[in-house]
Amino acid sequence: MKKVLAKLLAVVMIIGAVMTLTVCGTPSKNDLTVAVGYQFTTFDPALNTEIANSYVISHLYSGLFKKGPGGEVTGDLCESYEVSDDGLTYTFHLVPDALWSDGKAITAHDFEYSYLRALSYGEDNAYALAICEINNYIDGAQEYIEAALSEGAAFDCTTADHSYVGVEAVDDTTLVLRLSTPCGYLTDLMSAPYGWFPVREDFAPQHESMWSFDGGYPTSGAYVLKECNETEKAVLEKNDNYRFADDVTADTITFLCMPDESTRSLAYQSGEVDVTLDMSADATLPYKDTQKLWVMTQPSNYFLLINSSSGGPEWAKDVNVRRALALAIDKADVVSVLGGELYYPVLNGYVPDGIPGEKGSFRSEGDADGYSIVYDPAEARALLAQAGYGEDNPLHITYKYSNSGIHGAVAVKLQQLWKAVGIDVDLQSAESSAFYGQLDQGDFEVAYYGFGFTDSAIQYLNMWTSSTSIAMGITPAVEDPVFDKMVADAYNTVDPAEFNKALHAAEDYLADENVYVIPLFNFNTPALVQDYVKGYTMAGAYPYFAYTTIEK
Amino acid sequence: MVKYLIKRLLLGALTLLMLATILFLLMHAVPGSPFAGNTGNLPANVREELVSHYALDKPIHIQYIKFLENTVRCDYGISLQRRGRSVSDVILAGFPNTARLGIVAFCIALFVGVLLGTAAAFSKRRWVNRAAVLIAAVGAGVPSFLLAILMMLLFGVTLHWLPVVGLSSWKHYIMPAVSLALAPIAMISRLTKTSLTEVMKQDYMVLAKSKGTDRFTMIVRHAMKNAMTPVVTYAGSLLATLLTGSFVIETLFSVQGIGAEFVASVINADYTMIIALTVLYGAFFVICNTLADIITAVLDPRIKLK
Repeated sequence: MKKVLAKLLAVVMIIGAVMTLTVCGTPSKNDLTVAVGYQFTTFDPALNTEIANSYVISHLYSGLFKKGPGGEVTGDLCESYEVSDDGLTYTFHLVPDALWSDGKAITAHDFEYSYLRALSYGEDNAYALAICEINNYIDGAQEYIEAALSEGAAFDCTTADHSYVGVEAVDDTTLVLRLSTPCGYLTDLMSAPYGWFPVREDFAPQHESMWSFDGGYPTSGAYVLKECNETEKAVLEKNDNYRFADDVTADTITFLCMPDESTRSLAYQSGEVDVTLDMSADATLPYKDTQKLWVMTQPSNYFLLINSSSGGPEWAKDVNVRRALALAIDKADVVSVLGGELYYPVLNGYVPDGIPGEKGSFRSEGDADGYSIVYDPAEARALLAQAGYGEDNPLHITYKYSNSGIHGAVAVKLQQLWKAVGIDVDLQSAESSAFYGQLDQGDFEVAYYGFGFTDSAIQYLNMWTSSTSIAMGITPAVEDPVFDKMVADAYNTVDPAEFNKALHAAEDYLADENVYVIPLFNFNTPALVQDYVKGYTMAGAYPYFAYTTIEK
Repeated sequence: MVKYLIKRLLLGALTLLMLATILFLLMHAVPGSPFAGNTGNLPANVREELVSHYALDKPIHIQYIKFLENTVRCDYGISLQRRGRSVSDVILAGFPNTARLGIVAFCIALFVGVLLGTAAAFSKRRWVNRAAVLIAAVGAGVPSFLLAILMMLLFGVTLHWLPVVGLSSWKHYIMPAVSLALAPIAMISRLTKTSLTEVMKQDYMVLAKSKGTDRFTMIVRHAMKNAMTPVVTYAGSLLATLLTGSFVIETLFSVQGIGAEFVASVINADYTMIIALTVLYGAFFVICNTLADIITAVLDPRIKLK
């Protein structure tokens, strides 16, 4: 019996040893495995609307411009460009020696095809176009889209008349864009992983995108897609024809789709993934103050919206009451219950971090001026008293939020802070889609809100103009013709410095002077990275892994 | 026997027809479903494809016939969620993973369950019995996802013995298959034990013993054959359950199977996918149960008389 036991034990030990050996025997190449929290929907830039796609697309493609870690824009495939005095004609000169991954030269004609293809794609990419705004600015784009829609799948952008569309490849290295209105942030838009990125005519057919999952097609960026199953993974392999291929250190990048957060966390802990993205603050708290935690600064804000419109409550029409609401909030206290400033840095201005300004970050430029609203409960009480509210006649407000994520914790904290200055708060929670529906219908007094545009402050500001409300079919929460005009004028400003100044003025008017919105914090996204992974960085809002090395 | 077989198969086909009919009616009753006439929020090309595929512009009896025709041909059109993919493609991509995992789990469950049940029935040592009872209690009481997470933490995170992501090698199968198999092991071991104990009391076992048959032959040839009837009946539905996958286990271990797909399709209101997977599930249950019935009939000829 003892002998049998001894043999059994020996077998178990051998099996254990073999397993340990095989698990440890990882290849020495720089092969990076990254877990993402969503499945992919497309890798066709012209159809892209999702963040998980963008992770991959920003590694596959280079556009005319690219974004750095702080959101700053520099030329990528564009060597230089000129803008006409009226700001309506852009002439881009391409880098002459850039190649597709199959060795063919990247020409201005590729861009022409890509833009016409994106515009004439069909109904399916209407939302994608709205994100990249290519249709908003290119002259004749709307007409062209309608022509394409009426013809449907039969529309061929290589043969159809596009003489009236402001896209023209003059020669192999010169691309001219004619705009219908000036766009102070065109180069920012062109650097995002959407419809402004080039695809190849002979591999990317019109009106469809399934080719983008097949792999093997030529790309303009640091990687090519080797294999993909959109619900499981995308394997990217280094593109040797990439202009800066010598600097690219990660040989392959495998993005694994793992929708479940605890699965991502376990896979990270077991060492099977090197990086896990899309984590919540809660799940990464144990790694706080370690090298493993990577909090990615995201251009994403979290603010309170006050329904100051004619359909809103009476109290909200008084700027001093709105100001009192803002003065009563200790933002540092709010974020402390959520995991701290590392995850949710306090925002005093409305436009979040990671948005470029004239030279540096728009936010730092704004912060340099200071703010009139700083936590001051005594002043809040005084303003409320002025407006006729006091102990025997307290201000009564309702705060609406959706019952998921961090929103409940924020609501409870706000209730407590407002209570401290004598405001009665009713909390009303709703299921997420119902919540946004009620907001769109103007059915609220105060509610949280957030946006995640990546390119310009004007995208954030424009959300509260009446023209946007009309275009989106929502009941406006902010009704202010002065603000409308400020934003409209900014849109028509050609000079970059003036444009930027106009945006700062509009932001101050919206958040500081009139307190239509109360910025709370920046919404950053944490990720977990193994100690042995070095050299990861950001390209605008998205993580960029081309320069990573694995140093085990 | 042939008559019994034909009867069972016909009954199976009838069950499937009823399932398809109920499904068809439900799809027309769900508010917001494209089958209930709400195709407004679909993109034009998807709408056209769906309308022509399911004859949604025709009267309801034509739709019903078209629906059955599609079902028989296993052609469910395009997925509403995954633009450009046909439902059959999506299922064909996920099913092999689910099936492989399910079959491994099924074999583990059957082998370990029967072994444990037999040991518990015949062993005179108390610890064997107690171990069997413990495993049965754990299997019946601990939900599979909890067991899976505990195993992942121990064997994946702490010991680094087993991988936790996907199904790329045989080692990847161990934890998900064991998590799936534990509850069935509990069930099978208890069925085996009770059934064996019952059979051993029968007169023919006493006769076999008195004839001097050796213990092994007696257990395997005489007792097992008769004691397996309830296990086979249970195994039929178990196989169907395992082949259709588990959302929880597939999600936890990042397995791209149809179990996860089914839940996703319901959440995303991917109607064509829901139809296809429901029919597939139904077919599995009918086929596996029919198979189990036939095996039981072979094992115990008295069954078919009932």
